Amino acid sequence: MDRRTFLKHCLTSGLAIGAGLAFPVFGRAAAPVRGEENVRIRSAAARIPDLVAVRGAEPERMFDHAISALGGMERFVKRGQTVVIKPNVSWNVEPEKGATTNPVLISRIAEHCFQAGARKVYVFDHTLDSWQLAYRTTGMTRHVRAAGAELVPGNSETYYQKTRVPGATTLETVGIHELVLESDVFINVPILKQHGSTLITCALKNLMGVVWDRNFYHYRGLHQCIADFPLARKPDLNVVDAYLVMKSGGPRGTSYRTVIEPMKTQIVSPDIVAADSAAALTWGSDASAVPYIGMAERHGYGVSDLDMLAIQRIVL
Amino acid sequence: MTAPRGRRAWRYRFAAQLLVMGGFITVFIAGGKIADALLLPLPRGQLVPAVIRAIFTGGIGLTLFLFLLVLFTFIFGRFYCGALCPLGIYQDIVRWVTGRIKNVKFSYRSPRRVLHYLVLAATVISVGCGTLLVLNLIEPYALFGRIVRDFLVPAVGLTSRVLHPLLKEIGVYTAPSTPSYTAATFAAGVVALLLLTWAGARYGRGFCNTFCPTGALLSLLSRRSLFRISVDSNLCTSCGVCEGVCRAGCLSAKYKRSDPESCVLCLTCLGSCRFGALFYAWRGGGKSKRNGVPDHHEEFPASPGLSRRNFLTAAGAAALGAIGVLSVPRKTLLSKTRFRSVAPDGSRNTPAAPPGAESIARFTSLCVSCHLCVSRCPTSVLQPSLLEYGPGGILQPTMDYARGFCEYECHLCGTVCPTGAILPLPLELKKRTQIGTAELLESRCVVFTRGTACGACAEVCPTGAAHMIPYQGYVTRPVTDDSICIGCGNCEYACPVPDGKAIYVRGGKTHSVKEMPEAIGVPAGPENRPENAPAPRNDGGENGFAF
Repeated sequence: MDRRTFLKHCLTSGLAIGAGLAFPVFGRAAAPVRGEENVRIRSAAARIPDLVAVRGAEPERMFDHAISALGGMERFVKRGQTVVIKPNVSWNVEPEKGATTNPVLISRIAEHCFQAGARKVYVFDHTLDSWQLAYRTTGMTRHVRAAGAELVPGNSETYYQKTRVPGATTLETVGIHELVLESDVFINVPILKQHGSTLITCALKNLMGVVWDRNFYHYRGLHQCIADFPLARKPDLNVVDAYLVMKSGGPRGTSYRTVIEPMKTQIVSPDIVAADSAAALTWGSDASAVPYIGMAERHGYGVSDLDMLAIQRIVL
Repeated sequence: MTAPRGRRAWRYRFAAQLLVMGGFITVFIAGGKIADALLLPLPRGQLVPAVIRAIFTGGIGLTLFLFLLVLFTFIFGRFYCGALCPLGIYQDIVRWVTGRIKNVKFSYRSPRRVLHYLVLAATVISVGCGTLLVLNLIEPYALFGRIVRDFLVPAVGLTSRVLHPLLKEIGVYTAPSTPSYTAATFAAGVVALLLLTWAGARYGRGFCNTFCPTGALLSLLSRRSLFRISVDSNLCTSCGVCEGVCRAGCLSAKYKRSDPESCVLCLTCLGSCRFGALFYAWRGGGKSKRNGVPDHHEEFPASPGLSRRNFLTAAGAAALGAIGVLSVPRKTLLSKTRFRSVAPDGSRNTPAAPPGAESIARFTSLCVSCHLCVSRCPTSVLQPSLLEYGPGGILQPTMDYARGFCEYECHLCGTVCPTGAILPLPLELKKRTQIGTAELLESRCVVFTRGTACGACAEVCPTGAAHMIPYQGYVTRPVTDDSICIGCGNCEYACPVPDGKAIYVRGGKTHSVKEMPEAIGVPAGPENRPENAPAPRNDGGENGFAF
């Protein structure tokens, strides 16, 4: 009941703010819609959207709205379960450089998990820069600890377990961090950025941070390996941090080529392909321009055609 | 019977030594605020690093420090060897431990002065020849530092590797330190430590009085030290107990004398004498203390071959040799240096020296190979060289991009370097200091050989020197820009090509500072803070997620 009221509040306030705006849907003209009617229902039974897109507030607040629109964290995390959150903390840069996931968002997600009854919440990334420096500089250490979650190092091979990837085209086996394999719930929290070799990096690409040998990806076919990975372990929830979006100069973003735009957006979906598809569009490109999204869709674990999905938009 | 004098003196000395040792280990292993505070008194207060710094960097404080060190050695003797030298302290700790197990008795040794001063002369000459190798091999601080980095650092790392699966069982996730060492360097560390331990147990401070160049220099200064250990010959029974505990081998019961040239002021003898016949005082205490017994100095046996004349001859020869060698233009000597680094395509490469080295020539002529930077480097990119800098530069650290990359936001090596071989560049300057340039080998690159997307090099490049440009279809290809490449090796380390990378750093003989293009579009200033910026209006457009 509460959730429903809350959801309605969100929608109405969103509508109020965006009253003057047209509501075109993905390049196609579409008639403005009201209330829950703009939610395209894929299956008649589903009242909960497949994907929620929020815009116009701080990341943690956008997540509050998004997760309640998706039915609350209780839908994903059951009492007594363990959760692993995978942000992008790859770089030793400050959070305002837009290269790493917002740390406050991570702590808010962890809080939601605890409220839903999670026994333990782990946060880690297999960083490219030194993990001690990256965890500290990005603000992850401080915020994750404040939320009561555990920040775990990802830079030790001993934690990675060789796993078969059923149905993979290229990535037949891969060493995956045991927390990803052992935890009950896997939450993927990428930051949306331009990427020099894959056009964008987002939810699917972020999963390169839970494997040990990334060189295999680069050497044997980056796009195909990225698309193969979720066959081994698909995240239960994807939260795309598109608050600060690196439009170019990614993914590290410390060079003069870097352009960062405050997009103040968040995309949340259990469907990793849908999340990436919407993220690509948010960045400014059709999903078809990003080969790994298409490859992932062909594996059948997600849908990239946003018209096929029930999408809820929230403007704050 | 007189109460024993200075019974407890050695305990104070030992407590001070343990503190200094703890400080050194903190500086080498732990890091943090305490280690930063200890940098100045400990590694930078070491004689050879301080001399190098004083010569090449100067500074009134440093000059004053060295002046006081010399002055106090003139007055008090080799207190430096007793209290400040970490290698000496280690030998004293060994002596203390083994002394409790089995009390090996030392005896007076006629000093091997000729050998000792010849070692000093050889060291000086080799330094004059443009290589610090001889000095670095036996200089006590550097030797200690290498034992820490080759033995203690791996030992800590191995312990953490053993412990961390156990810790995980109780739900504590730790990351064992990344192994920055090899089996070979670890073995070298173990061997060096065993040798030193054996020598410490068997010969006490034998190393200090036979091979140590710093010890030789301080011996020279303390030959006529004003304060020294002396024997009251009225009380002394020549029982030989003090001689048995003298680790420096400088006490002679027979002649009732201690030799200040060899004495490292461990003060153990003071407490050992049952008759209170030993004391540490001005010129042996003056006549009154000795009750009119004349100074035995003239009767003290001249060490074989070490008359003053011999010594002066040796020192003179050494000085002449050094001057002769120094007068050879350095350029000719250095130009003979052959760099032995090898590029992935088999061509000869120049090694890269750490940022702050300014040039390989400058770096190799100042670095004492203490490996403090190697121990502390957070990415393990700094490794002891083998023949990269040529045979004269063995052990001096070089950038090993197979093991790591130079962290963009880090300038730790320069801030810890005790000799100034690596200058403490401000971070902003270090980020623009080009220590080498990246070379792309298209014939090896995945993009060109397999036609698939990669971009691992551009992904990690902190300056944008390595970046991707359109190639075929959606596949982009890497290019490098020498004008903004700093040679950090992120690209080389990240390159996935097995058996020889497709991109590598060609080291620069001389470093230079580059002008970086202004960053564009990174929000700065409060008015641009994202929380103050409006959310983008979404009026659709061709591309864009519409709200």
